[in-house]
Amino acid sequence: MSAGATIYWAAMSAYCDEALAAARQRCSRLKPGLQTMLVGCVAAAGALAGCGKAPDASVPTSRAQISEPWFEEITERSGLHFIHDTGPTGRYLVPEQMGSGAALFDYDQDGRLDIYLVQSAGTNSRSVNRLFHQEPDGRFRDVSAGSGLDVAGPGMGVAVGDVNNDGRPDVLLTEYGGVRLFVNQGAGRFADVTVAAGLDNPRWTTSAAFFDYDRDGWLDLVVANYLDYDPTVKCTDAKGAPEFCGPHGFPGLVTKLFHNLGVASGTPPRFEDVTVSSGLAQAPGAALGVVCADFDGDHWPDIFLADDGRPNRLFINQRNGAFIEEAMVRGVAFNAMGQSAGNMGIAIGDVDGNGAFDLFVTHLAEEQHGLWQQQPRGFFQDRMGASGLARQGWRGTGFGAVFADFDLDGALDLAFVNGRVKRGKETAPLVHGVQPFWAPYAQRSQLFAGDGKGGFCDVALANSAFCGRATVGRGLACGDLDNDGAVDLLVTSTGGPAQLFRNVAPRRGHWLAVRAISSAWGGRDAYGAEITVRTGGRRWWRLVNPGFGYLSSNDPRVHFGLGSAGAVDAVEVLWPDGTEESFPGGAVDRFLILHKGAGESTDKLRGARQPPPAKSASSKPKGC
Amino acid sequence: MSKKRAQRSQPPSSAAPSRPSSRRWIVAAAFLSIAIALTVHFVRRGAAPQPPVIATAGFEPMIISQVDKAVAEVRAAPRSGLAWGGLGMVLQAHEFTAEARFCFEQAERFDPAEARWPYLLALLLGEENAAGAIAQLQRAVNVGRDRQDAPRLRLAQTLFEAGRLDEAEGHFRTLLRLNAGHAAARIGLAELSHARSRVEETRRLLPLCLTNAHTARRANTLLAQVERQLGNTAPADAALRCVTTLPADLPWPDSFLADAAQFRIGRKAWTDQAQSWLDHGRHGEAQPIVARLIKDYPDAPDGWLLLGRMRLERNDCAGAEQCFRRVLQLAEVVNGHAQLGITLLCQERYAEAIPAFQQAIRLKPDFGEAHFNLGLALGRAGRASEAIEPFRQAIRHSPNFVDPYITLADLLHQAGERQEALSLLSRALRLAPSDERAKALLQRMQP
Repeated sequence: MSAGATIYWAAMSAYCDEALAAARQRCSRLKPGLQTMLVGCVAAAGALAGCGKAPDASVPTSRAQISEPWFEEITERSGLHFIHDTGPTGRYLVPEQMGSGAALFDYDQDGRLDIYLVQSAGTNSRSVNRLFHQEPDGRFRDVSAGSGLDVAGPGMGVAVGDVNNDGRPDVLLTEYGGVRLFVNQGAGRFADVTVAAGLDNPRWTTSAAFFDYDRDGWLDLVVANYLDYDPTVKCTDAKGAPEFCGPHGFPGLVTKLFHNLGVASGTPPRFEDVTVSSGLAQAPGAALGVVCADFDGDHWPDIFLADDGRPNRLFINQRNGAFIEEAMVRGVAFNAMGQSAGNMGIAIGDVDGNGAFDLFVTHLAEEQHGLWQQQPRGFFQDRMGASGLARQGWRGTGFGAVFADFDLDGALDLAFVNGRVKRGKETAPLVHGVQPFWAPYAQRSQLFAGDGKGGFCDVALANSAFCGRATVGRGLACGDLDNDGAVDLLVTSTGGPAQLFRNVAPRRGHWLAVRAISSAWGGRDAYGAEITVRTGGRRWWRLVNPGFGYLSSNDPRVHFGLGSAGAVDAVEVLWPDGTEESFPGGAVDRFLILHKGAGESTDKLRGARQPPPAKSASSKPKGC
Repeated sequence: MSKKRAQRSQPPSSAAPSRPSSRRWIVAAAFLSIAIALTVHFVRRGAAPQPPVIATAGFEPMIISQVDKAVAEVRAAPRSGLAWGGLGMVLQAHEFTAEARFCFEQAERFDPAEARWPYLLALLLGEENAAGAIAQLQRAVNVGRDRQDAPRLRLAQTLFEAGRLDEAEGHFRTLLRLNAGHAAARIGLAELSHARSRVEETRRLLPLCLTNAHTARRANTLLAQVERQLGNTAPADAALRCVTTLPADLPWPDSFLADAAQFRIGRKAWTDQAQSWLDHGRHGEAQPIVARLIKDYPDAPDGWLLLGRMRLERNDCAGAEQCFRRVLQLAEVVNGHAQLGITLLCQERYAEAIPAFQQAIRLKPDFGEAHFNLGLALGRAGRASEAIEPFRQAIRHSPNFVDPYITLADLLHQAGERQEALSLLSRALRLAPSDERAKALLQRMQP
């Protein structure tokens, strides 16, 4: 809608409201019939003058030029055939409706992202998790058989990380009842090393993330546990029909932390359960999402957990193996009204360009989602209302969420998927393949264009491919699947098909995709590295860690939309061990690999810094 | 003379109409206008709206009866706002959202002086139509003229959530002008100030809220944030300690919602209500609801579970045992077995408690507390060596539960496994640094 039309409708709407209100006031002492007549005449006059049901002017279209879609669905032509199986329906067991997730990762290091999709039909099911290899022509080939990843179980999510520093990404599968670690042996094969690795977590696990909390070069693991669920508890809807239970009737669980003890060549990775000694055991919750990043600016990674129906938790790394829970004092426990919400998926990114990352957490349809903006450093405030996100075209129960610059204008945009947890009515057509039992839970996905200052506007109406049909959305993974510099999306659904969406947004600027690796760590991605790209007076910040969203793992490369910047002045990296380097800038619209040690140390540039505090010595075998 | 009279009596030769004729036209026009106006009025007024068709199949008979009665009242008085509002509240209570909305719209139409209807309508609109909800709340405020604070308070909160801070602030301040001690308005204003990064103003607004049962937790949380942002660690920690000890804030009194809540009847509603009372330790309020559940639904386990819980909390273990045995006659539920085991432990019938906990674990293998209780029962039944594995399983499944660490440490110490016992105690003290049992055991274990 043009600005002029918007003003016209706003003016007429105001006129109508005022006129009707005035008429009602004058009428208040008249007899009812005459009241109606007078007010009716005013309304009729207003209708003739152009009032009536105005277009929804409350949904901002400040970027009214966004009339072309950003995504096209390519599931069918890509060869990605996957329908999520929850097992027999009608039992209304809560784990059935919460999964599952997916991973975008390059398991064979051929430069093209592959896909891993999780099933939850149970251990005895024939529906196994699936690994798809991306072929040179962009199609996906099912290579599950013989991969070792083709396992059946009550699958939930997946985390990806190189746990033995051999340069090959490994896979952690989370399930209702445990976790499973698969080490990448090359040639498309993975071996289950869960027991040998010492990973024991016999509870309902949801999201997980790899990160190096003690900065020793080995990826540690945080595993989010959800509810102490009792499958014999049966819930009903208002008329007594069976329905899935909500989270409030069950206690929360402890999130577990496993310390990677390092690995000698040829031996399986080993982890030590440090949940109690780290302090995480003292604060249980009902975690669905997890993100690891430096929340307090001390260059040591912390752990943020989105807790369903409870206050979120933020474990701040004390730099000595311990963590202290500080969500309340740092402003991320509750929403702006001081209330807990149904916290599910997490997106992380600097939406207002102040150099400090922000968090978006999805909630239930009857709640507002949460947008916690970081200001000052280390403290957050829920500014959902001011962001424009509250003025959305429709509301759903959100799960997987991502921030990415889809149209390369230099501002982070937001995508998230929706799917009910209680039956409802959806008027939009269903995604083809959604099983009939799950149809009443289906909802449409949503897409918002960011303005780079913390504001967003709803662009779903222009994106029927991504937002036009309803499914029971759960996981949302993002990555540049076709290496064209634009971020694509993978959606998973409960009881429905996985969907692949290719980014076809009209380019509004340039881009840069960066991979940060270290040969000291086997050439793996430097999880926890913070990358800042500078051009002119502008800067963009990204975090290297694919573990965010909901039950899913994303492209480990970080992607920058640069707007009109035609060249990059510098790329700065804050490595996970606290060292900083600056790399020369250069051309845009390319992929860049940054090797630790190859840049110019900013310590040297800025002068000496205080070293991080020493921690107690512990000898760990180091790999080659 | 007669010629002059004759001349005067005759109309002038010009074409002007006679007076009686023009008057007739005016009168006719007036009647026509009135007729048209009346026709328009009655056409516009239309037939009285009909109550929506409600699909009550599958509902409990008492709920169907409640709905039918409310519908009948509307049919009997189709232009009664009260009747429409009553039907709306019944439908809202049983999650007929769209139908309830229609009813509240009619209620407002026929009873425009009642703030309750636009208020309740706003609450239903809130999920899908925030702008519509705000408009309805504004109407409720205008009509209600602050006889109840709920509409203005809800409007302020909704505007705040929508990012309309100036307007929200205006309403919070109006509430405070009407009642300077309005804690909900004060905390709202404090949160708004915090959103605007006005830290000192936030701090100034909080004191009255810190001890109010409706706002204490929220206020202490906000105070902790503010003090921490200012670098005042000690006051921040003190506020945080308050938060951890305070119960959940009580909902702000809202007579509109309280009235509407009375329409929520039936097994599910009463079970939820009783559980909520018990969760807040209010046995007195829960008692009659539980009694009604058992009377009206004797074959449903819910009421028996709640009654058993109440008796257990009053240490009436024998009475609780009866309830949980009844539960297990009705349904195979984990909680039934686990609670039965606890009532048997409570009566020192340890050997009988063992199979109850084993059954709970069979149904839910990751039940940490049941593993621990099984270990306790085995230990007290003289089968201490068999208790070790259940305690290990309790730790494995519930690593934040202190008791199994201490109990297992004690057992292992007695069995000569000092190293492992010390390791367990160390973890127990990490979990609960001030646990006296752990400290005492550690003391005993010193050489």
